[in-house]
Amino acid sequence: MSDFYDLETMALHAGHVPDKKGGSRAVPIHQTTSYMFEDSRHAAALYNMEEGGHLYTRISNPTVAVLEQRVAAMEGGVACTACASGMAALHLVATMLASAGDHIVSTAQLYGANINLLKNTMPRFGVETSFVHGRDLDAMEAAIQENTKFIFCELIGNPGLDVLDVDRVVEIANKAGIPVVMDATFCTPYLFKPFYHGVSVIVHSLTKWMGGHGVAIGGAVVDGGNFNWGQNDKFPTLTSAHYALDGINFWEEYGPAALTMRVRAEGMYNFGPALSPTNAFHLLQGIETLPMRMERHISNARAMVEFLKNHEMVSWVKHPELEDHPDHEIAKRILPKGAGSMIGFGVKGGRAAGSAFIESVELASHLANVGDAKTLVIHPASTTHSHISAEDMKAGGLSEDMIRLSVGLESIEDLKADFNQALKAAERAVR
Amino acid sequence: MRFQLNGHEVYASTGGRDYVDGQPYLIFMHGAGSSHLVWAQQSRSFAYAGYNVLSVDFPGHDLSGGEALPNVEAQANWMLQVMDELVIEKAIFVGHSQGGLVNLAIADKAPERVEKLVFVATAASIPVNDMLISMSETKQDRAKSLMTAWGLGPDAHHFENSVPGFSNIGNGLRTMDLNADGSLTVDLKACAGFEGGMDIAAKVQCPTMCVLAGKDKMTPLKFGKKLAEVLCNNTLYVLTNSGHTIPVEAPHELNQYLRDFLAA
Repeated sequence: MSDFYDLETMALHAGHVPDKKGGSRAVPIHQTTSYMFEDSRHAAALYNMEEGGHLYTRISNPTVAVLEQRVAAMEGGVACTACASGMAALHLVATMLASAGDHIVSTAQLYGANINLLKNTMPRFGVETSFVHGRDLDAMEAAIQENTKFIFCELIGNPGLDVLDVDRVVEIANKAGIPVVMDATFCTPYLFKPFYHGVSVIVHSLTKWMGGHGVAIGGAVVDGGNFNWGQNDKFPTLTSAHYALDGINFWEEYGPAALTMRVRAEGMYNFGPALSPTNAFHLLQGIETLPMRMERHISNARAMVEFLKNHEMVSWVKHPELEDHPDHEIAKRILPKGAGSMIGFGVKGGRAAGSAFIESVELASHLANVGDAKTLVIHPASTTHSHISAEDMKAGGLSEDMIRLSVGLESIEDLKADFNQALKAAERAVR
Repeated sequence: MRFQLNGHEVYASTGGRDYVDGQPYLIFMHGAGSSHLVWAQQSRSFAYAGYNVLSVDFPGHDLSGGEALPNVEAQANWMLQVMDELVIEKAIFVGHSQGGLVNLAIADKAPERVEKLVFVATAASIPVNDMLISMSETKQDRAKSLMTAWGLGPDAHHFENSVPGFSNIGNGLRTMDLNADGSLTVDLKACAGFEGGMDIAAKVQCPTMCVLAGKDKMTPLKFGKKLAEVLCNNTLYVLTNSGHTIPVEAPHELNQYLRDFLAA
């Protein structure tokens, strides 16, 4: 027995003790912009970060805080800050750790918007990123410069489904005295606990598997508290006097939670990517069933891999649990509960056949999301990754004929039947 | 604040404020395996409320160098040395857990330097399970996990927190990780070895306050109450649902009790 509650229990309970006044068992939606101060001392204390509490929903909110505490608990972190989306989460981390003249090293196997933020937006503010292939760890080490602030990566690359050898990446980062920041959206804490492998900061798109229902957009920055920001002089935003709050030094005052306090004091305060309380409530409803949903996602994904692998109209299938996947051994080692519910595959007949397939599915939904309880399909080259160059697409393991499949929770027999009829329609279209 | 003492760097939080002449000194002392970080919601609050705050890291803890001090008497002597170094004649001491034992040792050695004493989740003696001491030597991470689990009450185990997004479990574990290797064992042995606390408590003449926790598994409430009974000029508060780590589990209540006590 663990000293603390297990993941399944945390998913239901963490962050919330039933309301003592109203007795509400469910987490109440605190749909308010602001909060009554007890007196002038209390007001000043909240503004000065002397004590915990809420002063304005752009900074924090009681419903959002339950979500934050639940995610922090499930990941085993010291704190979490929820925000408007997964992209807001990465932006918060990048801007809290890096300033003009600084540098980031990132794997190239990323979600398109992550690439765009690092490659096109951050340089306009003086922060450059070197992209390396996640399997080329020598190149990763060589790319680190004196002004590099962190290594960014996705454990399971989107949409190429490359699996990163995170333990070795952490070794490289430790040697350089910088943290690893991981987008853990595709694995969720059910499949993988990044902090237990030495990752220091997690960003999540809570919109995906964590929420699971496709009704609310949200993101999170989870602080592992396991990085010593004071070990060198690379992180002045955390270890020297802040421009406000009387020059507070976040590392000295808050230690393991220094990054979170900076995110709250500057990121949420100045940028304002607040998550709405109602969206936090919706995301909490989803998280309650995450462990059970993930079990089903994984079992359905395995069945679909087998189905697609043996279908005459499918030219190739990509999933880390397949022995021919280049990262199969890594996936076996670090993802024993399953390597996710994303599958890439190609339809014989190329782009035209792929298009016919997408337009013929009746149960699966053709849309721009992943991790929904419902099965989703999309053609990344013409949609999610259409804003990145052909070169970046290739680097990200993306081909023109690739169909990205996010396996949902439907009856596996119904899913197979739907895919079978759509693949037959694709065959007719290119015959 | 950082300064040198006995050849090692000492760190103490001032709550983010420079000292002001004439203000009373308020010294916070952490417990075994902990550091100044446990007082994060007290040090800044009181620094902005008219006190010169000194929330120390004992040697070998978080940002202070050196090795952990082997017994409570040595910790009290070190604290008095710190006061000499900073030219602090007299102070109000607030001790959590092991810090409460240091309160008593300072009151014994230098009562003239004590203005008031506050005991938070502590007792006159803190016997430590031999198994835990042994575990802290051979399976340090397991010992830290057990202490964090025992040190927090039911709400903290539900990840309830007044600081939005925080996990007291996560922070408790990581705070211990920041201390020098071996310091936890030294602390636990120091607690176990402290004797004569009740006799010292009976002689204390200054105003005192005990803030105890109803769900305290580290220093059970009944032992804290015995200390409170012996202290002749004592105010007692019991936070019925808090665990041992009151400064982070019930910061608003503790701060209010402190404000009232300090103002009296």
